[in-house]
This record gives sequence, C-alpha cells and structure tokens, in this order.
Amino acid sequence: MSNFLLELLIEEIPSRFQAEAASNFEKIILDEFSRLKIPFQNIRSFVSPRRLTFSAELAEKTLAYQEEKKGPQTVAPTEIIDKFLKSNNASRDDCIEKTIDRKNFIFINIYHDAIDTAALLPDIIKKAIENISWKKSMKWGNYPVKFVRPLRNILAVFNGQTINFSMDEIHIKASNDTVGHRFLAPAQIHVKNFEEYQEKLKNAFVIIDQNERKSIILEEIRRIENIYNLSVIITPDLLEEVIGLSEYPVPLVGKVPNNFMQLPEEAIITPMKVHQRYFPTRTDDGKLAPYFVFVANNQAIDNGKTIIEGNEKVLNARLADALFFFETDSKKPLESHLESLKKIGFHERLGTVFDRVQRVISLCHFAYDNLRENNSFITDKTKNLLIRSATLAKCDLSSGMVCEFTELQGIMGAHYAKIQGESDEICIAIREQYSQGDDFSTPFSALFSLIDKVEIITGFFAIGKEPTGSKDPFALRRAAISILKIIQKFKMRIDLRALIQKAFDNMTFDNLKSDTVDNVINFINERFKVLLKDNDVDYEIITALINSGADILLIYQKSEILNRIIKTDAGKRLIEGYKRAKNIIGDNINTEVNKFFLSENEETLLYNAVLELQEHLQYIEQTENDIQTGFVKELNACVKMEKVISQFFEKVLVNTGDSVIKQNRLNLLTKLVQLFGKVIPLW
Amino acid sequence: MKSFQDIIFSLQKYWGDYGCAVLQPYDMEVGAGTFSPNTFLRALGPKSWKAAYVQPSRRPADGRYGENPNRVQKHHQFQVVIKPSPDNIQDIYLKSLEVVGIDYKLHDIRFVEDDWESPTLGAAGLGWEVWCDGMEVTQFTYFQQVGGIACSSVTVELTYGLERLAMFLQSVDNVYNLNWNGKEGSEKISYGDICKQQEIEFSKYSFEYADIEKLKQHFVDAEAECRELTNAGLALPAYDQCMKASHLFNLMDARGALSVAERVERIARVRAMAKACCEAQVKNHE
Repeated sequence: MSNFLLELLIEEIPSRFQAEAASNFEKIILDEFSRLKIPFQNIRSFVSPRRLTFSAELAEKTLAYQEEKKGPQTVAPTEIIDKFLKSNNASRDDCIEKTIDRKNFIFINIYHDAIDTAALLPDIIKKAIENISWKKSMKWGNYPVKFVRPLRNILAVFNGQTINFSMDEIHIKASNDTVGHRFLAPAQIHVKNFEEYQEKLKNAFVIIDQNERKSIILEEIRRIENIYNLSVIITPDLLEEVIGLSEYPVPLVGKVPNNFMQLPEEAIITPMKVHQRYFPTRTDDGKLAPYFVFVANNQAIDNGKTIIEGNEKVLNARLADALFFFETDSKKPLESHLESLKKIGFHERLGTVFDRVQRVISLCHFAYDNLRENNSFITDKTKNLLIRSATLAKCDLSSGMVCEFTELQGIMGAHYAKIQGESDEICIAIREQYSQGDDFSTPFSALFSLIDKVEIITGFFAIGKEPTGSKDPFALRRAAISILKIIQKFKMRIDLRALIQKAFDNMTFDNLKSDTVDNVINFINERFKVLLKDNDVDYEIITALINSGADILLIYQKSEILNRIIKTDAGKRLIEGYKRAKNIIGDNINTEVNKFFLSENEETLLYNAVLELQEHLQYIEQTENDIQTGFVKELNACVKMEKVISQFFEKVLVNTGDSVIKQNRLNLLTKLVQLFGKVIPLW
Repeated sequence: MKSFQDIIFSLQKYWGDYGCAVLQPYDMEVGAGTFSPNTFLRALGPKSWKAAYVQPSRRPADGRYGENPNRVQKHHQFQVVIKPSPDNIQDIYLKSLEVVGIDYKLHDIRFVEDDWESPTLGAAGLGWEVWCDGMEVTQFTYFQQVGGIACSSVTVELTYGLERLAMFLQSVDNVYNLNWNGKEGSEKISYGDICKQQEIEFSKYSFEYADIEKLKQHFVDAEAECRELTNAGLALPAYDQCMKASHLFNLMDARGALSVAERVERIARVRAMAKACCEAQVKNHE
C-alpha cells in the first residue's frame, strides 16, 4: 500500500458548507476507488477554512477481475451478434449461453488485468473536483468553471511522487506544495505523504483536522472556565461555525463594561453570538457574566492583548447602540408603535402588520366566546388579557431594538410590557407568541400563540400560499403542529373549524380562495395523522378517529386509550373478531335475531352477551358524565366480548346451507358490529 | 498614527502602484461606491478594468443628527475594482492593510462569508466581510451578476469603510474625534470639524424638511429622462438619471413617505432603469 494525498487550497470556504463538502469529497473519491477496483484503507478526510484534504493508503495496482457481459439473444440477426463480438474483441467460441426469462442470451467473460493505480488517479481527482456539490458556487477571473470560492492550489501526491494532473481551465498544475497559516507561516511547504503533510502543517500553524481544532477550543474553554470561575454557553451551531473559521484556533477572553449589564440578557447575548460569533458566559448563580470567549485565528506576539481590545471595542459599540435603543424604546408606551405598524408590510396580499393585529384582536374575541364554557383555565379576566396581548404583541416590531436585532422580536416586547407595568400573563404571552411545539409556560400564553398561528395559516391558505412539497417558506407546517401540541398539552377544548372560519371571515381582500376553511382543516388533520403516528397510534385508528369529526383533544384522548387497550392480547383478538364479523355481514343491515333459530351453544352465548353489552353501553351512557372515563368503560365492556366472539367463530359456521339460520346469524353479527361501531369507529 | 487623509493617500498610492487608475469620486449622490458607473457599468462585458477611488456615500436613513458616535448619513468608502479578478487578489489585498498600518503579528484577520445582493441594481456577488479583531474593515466581493446580466469576466470589488478603518487605526470611539489632517493642537482638523454640521443639517433635511411631493415629481422626471436617454443609446447620461432616482427613493424612504407597497414598487422601477442602462451599455460596447 502507498499513500495518496490530495489537498485543494481554496479561498475561505464558508463555514456552513465545510462539513458537507468534506464528506461529499470523500464519497466521490471512495466511489471511484470501488468502481475501479482499487483496494484502499486508512481513509482520512479533513476540512479547514482554506483546505479540503483527503488521504488514503492505496494498492499500487488495481484488482484483476472478471466481468460477465451480457450480449444479444442467440436468435438475434448475425450482424448484431457480430457487432457485439467485434466490440468486445471476441469470437463466438469465447461466448457462453444463458437463459433469462426463457430467452437465450450470449454472454462473454471479460478479463480485466490489474493496472497501475497511479494511472487512474488524475481522472479520479478531476472527477472529485468537478462533481463536488456546493450549495452555492461562483465564477472568478475569466475562468469557465464554478466552485465555492476560487480554487488556488492542488497538492496531489501518490507514493511520494507528484501526480501528473492539471486543471488547464484554471491554469493550475498539481504539485507537492502547499502553504501554512496565512499569517503565521505563509511559506511554501513540500510534502511526500500524509504523515509529513500533517506534521509540517502543524508546525506551520495549521490544524487540518476539524475534530482536533474542536478539542483544542473545548480544552481551552474548560481552562478559562476554571480560571474565571465561569461557565461558557456553548451552542453546537456556533461551535461548528467557529471551528470552520480558524486554522489555528486561539480562544481568548474579553470583558463587557458593567454599565451594559443592565440590558436584558438577550440584548447582550444576541450581538455576541449572532453578530460577533462570541460565546457568552454565566456565573455560578446562572446570571449572565460580563465576559465573553471568542476564538482568534492567530497567535499574536502580545498574547492576544491587542486582539482582545479590538474585539471588546466592537462589542462595546454594538452594546452602546443596544443600550441607546433600549433606553429610547423604554420611554415610549408600547401601543404608541401601533401607528408605525401601518407602515410594516406583513404580506403584499395580506396587508400590513397593523391590519393583522386588528384581525388577531377580532379572533381573540371570538376564541374567548368559543372556549369559555369548556375550558376551566379561562376566566372572566381572560378576554381582556387576550385583547391586550393582541394589541401589544407586534408593537416591538417598530422599536429601535427589534429593528436592529430582529431576532429579539417578542422578547423585547415582553421586556417593554413589563417596564410599563403589564401583567405577567401578558408579558409571557408576548414573549412566547413565536414559540413552537408545546413550549409554553402557561395555558394562556399557549392559547394566545394558537390564535396567532390560526390567523397566519388561514391567511396564507386564503391567498394560495400553502406549503407544497418541500417548500414551506412561512413555516406553516410547524405552526400547525404547534397548534395540535398546544391543544394536547393544555387540554384545550376548542372548535378549530369555527376559529378558522372566523379567521377567514375577518379577511376582506380580493380573490381569496373560497375553500380555504376546508383546506386548512385538511392540512391540520394531515399533520395530526403524522403526529399520532409518531406517538405510535395504529394508523387505522387514527384515520377512523379523525374521520369521526370529533374535536382534537377528544381524538387525542381516545387514541391514547384505544391504543393502550388494543395492544393487549385480548384487544388484538377483539379487533380481529370485529373485522371478521364486519367482513362476513357485507351490506346486511338487518339486526332482528330470532331466539328460536339459535341452534349452537356458542351462538346462544354470543346472543346473550350482545344483549348484555347493549344494556351495559346504555347504562354507561346514562350514568357517566366524564367522556374519558365513559370511553374506558365502554371499551372494556367491548373487550369482555372477545372470548365469546372467538368461540363463536371457532364453532359456528355462518354460511350454512339453511338460509334462515344463515340470515339469523348474519343479523346477530350485524347487531354486534353496530354496537361496536358506536365505541370503536374503525370503519 | 495615520490621519484620515493619510489612510486615503496610502491606499491610493498602493493601488495606484498596483496599476489601478486612481479616480476622483463620482460627482453625484450615491448610496455606495458600487453605484458609481466606474464600478457598476464597468463590471459589464469582457473588457479589463482596474480602478480605485474614494466615494462619499449617502444613506439618508442613517442620519443621527450628529449624535451617534458610529453612524452617519454620509460616509466615505474606498473602492477598488479589478476585472478580471487576479489569482492572488487576497494576498494583494492583505498587503494593502499592512500599508495602512495593520500588523499581522498583533491582529486577527478573518474572511467571514457574506454574500452581497442589491435589489435596486439587480446585482449580486459572493465573497466575505473581512474582519480585523472582530470588526468588519472591508467588503470583498466577486461580482456574479450586474443589472440582471451574468458577468462573463468577473470583477472583484474591495470596499473599505474609511470611517471604521480610521477609528480602528486611531483607536477612537467617536467618529467625530477622528484626526483628519494629522496635525495636533490648534492646527488639528477633526472629522467633526468637517462633517458634523453636515450631519445635523442633512438629518433635518432628510427627516423633516425634504418636500415629499417634489421628491416624487423629481423621481418621475428622472425616470422619464432615463427612458428617453436609453432609447437614444446614451447609456452614461441615462445612468446618471438612474442614480438620481435611487437617491430620491432613499430620501423618500428616510422621510417615511412610502407605504409598503409603494416601496416595493419603486425599488422595481429603479431596478428597471438600472437594467435598461446596462443593456444600453452592453450594446454600445458590442
């Protein structure tokens, strides 16, 4: 085995493309090795901001192998057969015959000799460079090629020798050279193999292995945590990005002046993370600490003093802006922003944000009346709270802070609401209005977000902007799932269709789609099916329950109970018997059973049990007020029937020659199916 | 320490020595150095081009009445455009930072992905913002499309934000305290001496006094003239009208005179002008 080493030196590759590019690059090369029968081992592939590196140990020769190549049918015209023989440089005697699907074909065994791996490498390199897929690529100079960023150098070595490869279209000839760190060791480096490459680059301040860079960063962060007695807030996305922004990572600590610490912590964290790629820190008691950690790409001769000062200054300027906005915003009542919401478009066909606020307010009135009776968390105060929340919820969109840091929408609104003395319920509702899933602190804030989401989904469906395929630019699927999860978690009894209808009626734009309400209901039901399926509910049960038109909470509750009971052995047998009975009765709807035609013992037992079940179900219906408890009792009553039914099918033949007895038995089963159908609506 | 004007001199000298034509600022209000025909129209077609120039750039909405230490309605960009982009452009660029006084033994330079797109110009490019110790000092862009036309020969554009760069080099926290002429004591002329009154008065103009109806009328006039001139094949004068319309749009926007729909519509109208100018320009050079 001999070492193969390939490095593409590229102008800074965007961090977010690096990982995928590296695995893509590796896969293309390995696929080629397999296709060309080059034995390989010890694969290494790395990515840094400036390089894609691949290395493997390869056999110096490919494997010799035999290929059985299929030709035309034996009965094909002679000229076709001759052509096949000629193109494979074979005679008819070399061929064998094989039968496929009762037709005879000619086959040739072709022997591929082992060839030098070195001869194949240029094409493999070419393929790897050309076929690597970038999410975004560009042109440069006058060259006719596209790449993520300009490709500047190709290092390609096999068995100590430079591979004879060039990309003429960008005037690059492969060599055994590369360069070190852009500032710390920019000189040329010559290498013969991977070991030397890794070693020499390390000495030239380039850590090619992204995992090693990660360890270096994390280790240094641990050290900083100990020295400063802090915990560093590391989010995986940010860590990945930072790893992809340096070839020689040097974590450093900067300080935040105390006067900025009065800002809400999100207003400090956002500029740190999003704008500057800094890691915020916390003290032992969980408070945001006035320090941040960042990763430089340089080992400065003053140990980073200048770099730290520079970074502190940049952050200070951003925080000074934030503080200015925060102080200015805090002096204005939130509702004073309502007027400016008239200037912020929501969507060209759905009016301004102000228009939407009015629609949400109207929907809040409606939702209150709709939910009031069946939901204990709703009290007399709720109506005013909902309307107040709706009035204030979007006001922060025109505040200085949110205009500057859009990620802080909702969060800043909540802070400003708190400052002007709004109740906690309202502040929480404003803060959590954009939350997803069932991530809400109170039923009230969940309800408010649900109303907002119903308005959004209905709006976009009304103008024909529903999600299609993988495209869901307004994240409507996520919103629908959140609506369902809210209903489940907070046990809301809600007439979703009525709410959607109201949201639709609130819209007064031209050319709205008339079937919007049905479409939204179907859309939500589709999400509901997926959600129930993820919760391991049987698909037949899901479909049956959703088609029964019950409200969402009831479907959730019933599906859980049904699922539990049906998964027992008795439950499984019951469903089996139920299905069998359903199949046998066909379209019979007669349920009159004549006792005197019951001949077999098992049939009498079933008859008695059916009568008993009928009475039992009636009794439950009359005495049980709680829907869930009632449902459990009804189901259990059905499950008790399981044995009698099994025995019936074991012993009794329904389709007997005697048509009167047969009809009587069909009627008995029909009666059973109808009783079951009221409880378990499987069809 | 380098004065504001020294930084300009150094960059002009450096890029002039490299082979760029060192030009004077374009004599109209523009939102960025990219708007200048010396970048925008020159990026079209296969003909090579090297130029460097300071471009005062106006963004009326950024006016802060001279009260914000970091934000001004007129700032200065140092613009370098080279077509086709040279193979070692990153190295050439990094040397220019050394020339203005950035020592790589002490500072941390990073190329952070930042793709550029101008909806009003129908232009787009890929590149980075270049960070020095966490601060963006240059926008580095390979043009891919201009006026809706794909670039056959790629222009690289380097835009140095001179105020930021100078604040960084002079270690100043307030833009108005920048030393412009490099003298001290009574002979010193600061950025504030030159620009502060402009900031105050132009902020008042943009936010309070600009006559909305007149701006709208001027916009319509510029648009009509642009159309006539492109029809006559006069790409350069037509493009002047396009720049004018773009600035009028920015003023109306700062003045809060545009509804959402109007805003979108006017951006589209400026883009249509820019596109027509580009097409006329390409035709003239066929």
